[in-house]
Amino acid sequence: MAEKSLEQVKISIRVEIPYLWTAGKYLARLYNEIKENERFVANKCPKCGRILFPPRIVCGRCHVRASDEWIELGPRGTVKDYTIVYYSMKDPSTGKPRPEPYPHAVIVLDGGGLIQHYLEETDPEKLRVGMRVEPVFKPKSERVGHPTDIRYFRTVEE
Amino acid sequence: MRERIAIVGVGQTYHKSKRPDVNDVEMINEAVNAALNDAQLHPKDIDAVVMGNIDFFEGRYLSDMWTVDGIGSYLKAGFKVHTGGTTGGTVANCGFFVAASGLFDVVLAVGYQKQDACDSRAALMTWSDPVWDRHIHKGAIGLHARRAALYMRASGAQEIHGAMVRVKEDKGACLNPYAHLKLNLTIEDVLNSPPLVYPLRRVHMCPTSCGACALVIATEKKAKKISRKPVWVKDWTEAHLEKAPVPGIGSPEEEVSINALETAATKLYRRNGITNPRKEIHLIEMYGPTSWSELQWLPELHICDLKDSWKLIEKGVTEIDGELPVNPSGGVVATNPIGASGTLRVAEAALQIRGDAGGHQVTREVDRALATAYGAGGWNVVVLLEKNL
Repeated sequence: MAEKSLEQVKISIRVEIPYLWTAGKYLARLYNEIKENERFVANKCPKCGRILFPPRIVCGRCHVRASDEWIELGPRGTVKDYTIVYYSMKDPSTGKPRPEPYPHAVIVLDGGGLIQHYLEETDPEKLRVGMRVEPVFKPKSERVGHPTDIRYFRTVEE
Repeated sequence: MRERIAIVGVGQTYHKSKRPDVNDVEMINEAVNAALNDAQLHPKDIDAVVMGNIDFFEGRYLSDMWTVDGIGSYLKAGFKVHTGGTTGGTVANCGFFVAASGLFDVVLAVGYQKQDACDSRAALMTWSDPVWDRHIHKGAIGLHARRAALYMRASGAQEIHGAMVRVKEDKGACLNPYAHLKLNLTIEDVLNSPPLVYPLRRVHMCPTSCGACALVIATEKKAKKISRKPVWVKDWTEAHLEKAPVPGIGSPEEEVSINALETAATKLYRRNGITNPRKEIHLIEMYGPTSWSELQWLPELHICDLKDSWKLIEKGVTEIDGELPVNPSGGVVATNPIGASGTLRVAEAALQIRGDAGGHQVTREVDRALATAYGAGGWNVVVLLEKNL
């Protein structure tokens, strides 16, 4: 029997499953501060003293209950490092690709804590490690209490 | 006390981006049969089975149940493991744990992935935290680009060094009949490859492959009966990072380092009296998701200082005919069936010790080899293999 006559069969299925995740009370505190007050808050590990941002219940390294004392971070910060994204990648929250190329930065918030985000400045000539930036929030009516409430970070002159 | 154990059979599939000719079970069976043939064993000789893959890529969980026919695990003891990108390495380690327990004589460990089932890049995004930062995630490419950029800044390496590693990996892959990408690359080809996220270019990044790899592991007494060339599993370990607030780094003080690899390697060396890994280790099969990984992570394995790893590739130390060959198989950058990629590192290192690697057999004698596996979140596996008991 001729093997060539056997056709390969493929089955195509698209699975869409809606999820509903719980932020937990520590992240919820941060998200409410972003939504209501355009502020970042964190807590600390009582043992090693490091800032936990985003805030959480337990320090993963010391495995002790984190402090319930809240500290405010930023909102301004300093670009720790950045890179340029040249390939089209879908934004998982919208399903739409972001126009490339665009910079993607890791920012140290004033007072500590790291956040990764987009920058308003897209000209590679004007990007620097160490540049000062501040978050640009969506208008309050559009904020839902999530990091996506921040549009991007913009350059500030100090 | 644990049993002394050895790898007595290895098997792998040919690797391709698509395998429309087989389903998961049929593909896995190719590797399992190859491993059983290599060990000259029958499925009935296997006492326990450990297997693993990343369920999300094939879109079906309980892969341990669905693959029973292909593996031959019907009514046998065993379990499935999944640790993301590290899965294949954890499969090997769990196979070692089971064999070393003394409860079983012969254990089969199987890793697989059939990446033609869906858009792996989209599936991979589900590792990130949906509540905190998935919206801004750059995926595996961005994470490794960031590490490579930090490495360049910290070490003084230039783009050409990443290109040199890529060319070296490709040379190995072209000699390896099972490898996926065989590109005959030149340095210029790499430097002209389209940028993805600086400094990563398209050819720097591992492909999505379909494939499977199986190891037959036996206790000392059995191993000596089964194989003329058992490869002794001297030791194995792993270490994990905490949840990373920024993907790829645990905290501001962690720069290029993934830290957990260094922790695992240090533990392994100390337990086995290895004080000069550069001389005492003869070959490394490293799970490097990009061509930059080797440069970043050889220092973590205490092979050299951070500022010197790019000099090793300049001097040809890590080449197939070098003093310390790294990834002569072509590595993960050439062949990446994720759930099997870590298992393949162990299999390839074992073949090199046996002298059975074929076209990509290294020129130097290999008495002791290291295999590693890595996954996002910083789960690292390190395995130490030896020719002599």
